[in-house]
Amino acid sequence: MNNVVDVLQHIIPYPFWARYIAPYQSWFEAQPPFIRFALVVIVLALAAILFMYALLIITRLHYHWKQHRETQFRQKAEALIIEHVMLHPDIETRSPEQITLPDGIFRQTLGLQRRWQKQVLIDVMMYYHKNFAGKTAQVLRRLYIQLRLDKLSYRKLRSWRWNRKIQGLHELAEMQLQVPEVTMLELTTSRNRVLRMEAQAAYIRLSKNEPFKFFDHLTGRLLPWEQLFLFEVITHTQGLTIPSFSRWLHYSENTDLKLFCLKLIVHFNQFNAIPAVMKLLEHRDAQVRAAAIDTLGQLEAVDAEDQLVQLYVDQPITCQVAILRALGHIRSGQYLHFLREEFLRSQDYAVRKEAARALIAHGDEELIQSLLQHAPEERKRTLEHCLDPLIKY
Amino acid sequence: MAKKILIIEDEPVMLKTLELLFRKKGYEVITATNGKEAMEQIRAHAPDAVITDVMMPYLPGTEIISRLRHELKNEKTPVVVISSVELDSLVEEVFALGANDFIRKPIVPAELVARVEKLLVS
Repeated sequence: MNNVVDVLQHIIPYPFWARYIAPYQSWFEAQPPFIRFALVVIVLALAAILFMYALLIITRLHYHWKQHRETQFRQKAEALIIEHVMLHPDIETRSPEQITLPDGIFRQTLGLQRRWQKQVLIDVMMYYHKNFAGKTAQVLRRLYIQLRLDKLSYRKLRSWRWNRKIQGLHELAEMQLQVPEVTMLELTTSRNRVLRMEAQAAYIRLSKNEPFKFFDHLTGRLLPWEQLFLFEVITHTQGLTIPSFSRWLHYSENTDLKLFCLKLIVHFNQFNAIPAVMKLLEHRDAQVRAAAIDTLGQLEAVDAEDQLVQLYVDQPITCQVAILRALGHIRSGQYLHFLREEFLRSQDYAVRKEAARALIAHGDEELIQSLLQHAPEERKRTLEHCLDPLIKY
Repeated sequence: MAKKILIIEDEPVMLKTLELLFRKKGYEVITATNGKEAMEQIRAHAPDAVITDVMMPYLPGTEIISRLRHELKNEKTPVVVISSVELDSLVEEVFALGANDFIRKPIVPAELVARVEKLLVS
């Protein structure tokens, strides 16, 4: 314990020690060792609490000061954009390339020497670029490049922090600037899920030649949320060249990608993909088979009907239900007897219900009425359930 | 006398930008940042045209159109809806409620001004 006192004596300045601590030194040394130990712990804990509070206050003050500084700067930047871009006197009469850029005024007024200043200006420009299109957006893009703000966005792609990389990708994608494909391809297979999603979205938006090339390299999972996100990007990106998604049904070993491509085939009505989808009916994974069957149904592939019925017996319930649903979509009328038999004989409720739906979809009133009159009570109730337009499931 | 336009938008930057855009064109501009304030402005100033966002606090844009057309029995004031929502059902809804035009964000400023001017003339 005396060693601790010696150490403290060395750390604490002598005048402070002599005035506030030395008078209690003899009292402290007279105490039993465990009391001395407890006193040291108490003093250290109090000091730590005071230090933490001080740190907390300083951090908060610093944060508020930064917020205030950025708000002031943001207001200045917004005022400049409104005055010199939105209300530019030539914006209605000249083409965006002919408009004299106000980069000098921006540099003079905003300084733009520090990184945070550039970042706030980028954020403001992004906001305007997202909300305004046409010449305004084109002038903003030119100004962004002229002020060399793109350099900061490109630099972010090399950052070790994943959120910075995403920020960089967002900015470059919004401003429609080229990013080297090698850099983007590497990011599309990142282990970080958020970064991977953003990189894939950016790749689709920015790649001029092959916006879906990263599908070739996709080996990991493509989770439902990621699929939804990509679907949004694919269906909302203007001027995107849509390839035949059957390509990846053949070549990719990735089950998630196959399922996603099937959804895209349906969305874009790619009827030329039907032969490739039919090959998936022999896939080892029942989930893929069921999705392929559903795709064929939604594409109303009459040619697939015979094969679907032939496969029916050997399939698990999920695939059998998908086949019945597909027959209901195709509605050729060739397999009404098969549907009727399944409806009357199957022991599984899901199968009976889907068969009833498929029968109703065929629109054969006579057959439906006959079933309502002669089918067993439980089957009749299933049919009535499916006939009710207010019941969706 | 300059025509009065009421702009209803909850995002201050967007509101300020649209306000200055229309002021530059010579219009008198009244602004509101939420539906409740918008209804008060409509009652107080009787604007010649209304430009409104859809998603706003207190009252959404759809409710503003509905109240303007049914509660205030105002069939004449043209209403232009601007929104970033891309649902076709929303477009159908706003037209069914009595909106005169629908513009999706991002907005082309010249197009917005031209559409409002056309509605004011007609």
